[in-house]
Amino acid sequence: MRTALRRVIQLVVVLLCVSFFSFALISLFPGDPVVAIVGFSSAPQRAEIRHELRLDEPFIQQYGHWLGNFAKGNLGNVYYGPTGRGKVSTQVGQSLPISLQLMAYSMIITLLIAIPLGVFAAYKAGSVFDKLANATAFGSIALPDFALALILSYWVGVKLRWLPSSGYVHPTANLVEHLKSMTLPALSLAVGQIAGYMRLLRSDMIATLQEDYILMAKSKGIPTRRILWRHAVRPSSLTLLTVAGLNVGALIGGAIVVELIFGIPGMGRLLATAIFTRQFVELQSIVALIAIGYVIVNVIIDVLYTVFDPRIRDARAIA
Amino acid sequence: MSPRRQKNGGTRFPDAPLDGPLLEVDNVKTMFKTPRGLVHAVDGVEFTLERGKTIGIVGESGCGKSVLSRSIMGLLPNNVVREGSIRFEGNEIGHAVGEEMRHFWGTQMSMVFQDPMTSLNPVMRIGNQITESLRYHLDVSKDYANEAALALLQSVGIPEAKRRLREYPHQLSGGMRQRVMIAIALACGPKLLFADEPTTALDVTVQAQILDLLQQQQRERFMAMVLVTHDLGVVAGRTDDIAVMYAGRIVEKAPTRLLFSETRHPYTEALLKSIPKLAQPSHMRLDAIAGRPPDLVNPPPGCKFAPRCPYAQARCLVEEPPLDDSATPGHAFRCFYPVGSNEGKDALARNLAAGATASGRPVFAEGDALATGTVVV
Repeated sequence: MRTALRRVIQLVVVLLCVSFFSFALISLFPGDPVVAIVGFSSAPQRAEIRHELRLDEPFIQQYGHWLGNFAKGNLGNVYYGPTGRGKVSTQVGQSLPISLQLMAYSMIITLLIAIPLGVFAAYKAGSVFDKLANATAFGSIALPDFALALILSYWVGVKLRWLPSSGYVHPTANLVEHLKSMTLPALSLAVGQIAGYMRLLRSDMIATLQEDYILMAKSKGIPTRRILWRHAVRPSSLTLLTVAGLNVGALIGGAIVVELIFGIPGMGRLLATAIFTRQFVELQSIVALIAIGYVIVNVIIDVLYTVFDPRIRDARAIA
Repeated sequence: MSPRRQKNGGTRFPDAPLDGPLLEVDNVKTMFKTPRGLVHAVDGVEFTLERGKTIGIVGESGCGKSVLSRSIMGLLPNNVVREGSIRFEGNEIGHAVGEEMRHFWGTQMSMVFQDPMTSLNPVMRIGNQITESLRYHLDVSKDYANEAALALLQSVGIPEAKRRLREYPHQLSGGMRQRVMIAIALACGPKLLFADEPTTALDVTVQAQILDLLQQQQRERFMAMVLVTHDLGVVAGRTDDIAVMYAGRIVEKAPTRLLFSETRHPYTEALLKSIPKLAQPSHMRLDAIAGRPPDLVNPPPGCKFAPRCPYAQARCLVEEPPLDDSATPGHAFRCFYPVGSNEGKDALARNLAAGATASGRPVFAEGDALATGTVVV
């Protein structure tokens, strides 16, 4: 119970730091932010926006005000010219679920392919299969996701017409079409990660297979398949878990290039648009959200460690 | 990946004869392929083990005793060449590999490993580690397997067995973990148990308890046991026979009592002398065996112990003595100048007079004979 409480306090402190820096980062940009947001405007209009954004107040008060609003779910406004206003929270509300879907799909594809490959490559370490898998892995790591995205979009989408080359369909509108629209983007993101995950799991797994308890399991006469999956995978997966956590954190902000190529209206595209149109209020909120996502995912990963390895659980309880 | 499981490995050889020895090992050689060349870890070992009997395999580190037990079980890594004949219940298993051997593991033969701290899976509950082989080999229900696991834990003397089933290995002490290991090894009722230095990693105070437990289980189950150890004291009162190994060979083999009363091989004698005795005054220098075991990639010709042996003569350096039976039944040894014989006495007297053995090792009068030069433990 005390450890849980300490975790929560830690979490709050980290989130405060993160939000402060993401706020400060953009406020410290040179030039007049109001001019950046609304280019053509009269002096009174600019003064009004400046007051609205509290740019006339000291920095700390600005932050306090922004943080208060952020905590209440008010992520500020997007400015369409001097008079038009849109809510950032509405936009994020639309984009975030789409990015999360994309993240989940690419994660599923990645793990479904990487884990069996890594396990088998470790079991057959040094074999032709292992070497082939490693060579392919290097190739796919070297291939950037946007290049693959373009190739897939062109070949599968435009030439072969098997899957839509761009666009997004909401799952409640048409689930099959939704999955079709997400296949290529998810695949583009997954391919580069499969190789990394596979190699991580392979090297940890090779070390695990040298352990005494694997020989012990073997001496019980249980099938190799069971030894690999029941005895060896779990103790070998902690590094994989860590890296997967970091990747998930990164994908909360969306995959900017892949989303743009496939016309997926996710966080990546929202972020890109915010940058191009200099919507610094929106940028502040999105950057803070991404950072918070990172922190939360890593707390979840921390908890998962204890699920995967009971020794960590007890070590923490004692500490 | 692997063929469908075959239920109940025990019925694999329904015509297995019930009489005759359980295990016959004949001229078994195990070689490791290394960049330096073949390491002859086990080099022509033979012995026979009857049902329900126990044999102790004794020797210092690197003599091949652990590799021998793993060779018999077929639990070896891939860089190994195994030769010779191993018959289990009359069936040749010397050339069986992987899948074929798997049906013997657990049900016919099983192993208790040296280090219980690293030999239990740290992320699996103890209960699951016991029930796993029961469920697989005997195809019993989950409830039945759990009941059996509970009974097993109780029979190996684990208090609060029910709670322990739900725990992980790190929550248990070393002695308790070794008891769990024994429970796992016994789970499917093997006919042959290998105990590979089962107490070496344990606290001295629990060593005797674990050995007693092994002996008790072995008797109750009428199970044969191969007890591998570097400590003659461990096997002294607990085995029917003892085989002393040196450089991958058996150098002396005898019924336990005989080995101690009629020691023939100088290496056995040296091992016996190196055991500290309560009768000795305190602070007395222990009789260590000087020198170190030979290089197993290029073993010297002749008797492998000759370079360290106080009895060594010129003949020992060029000709390897065969493992011959002595006048006493069941007693065999490899030596031209055996301890206690006239040849042995003469050989030692000659070496003492010369001040050195045929291999050039200096020897001194009785008591110091073996503890000369740098002591390598």
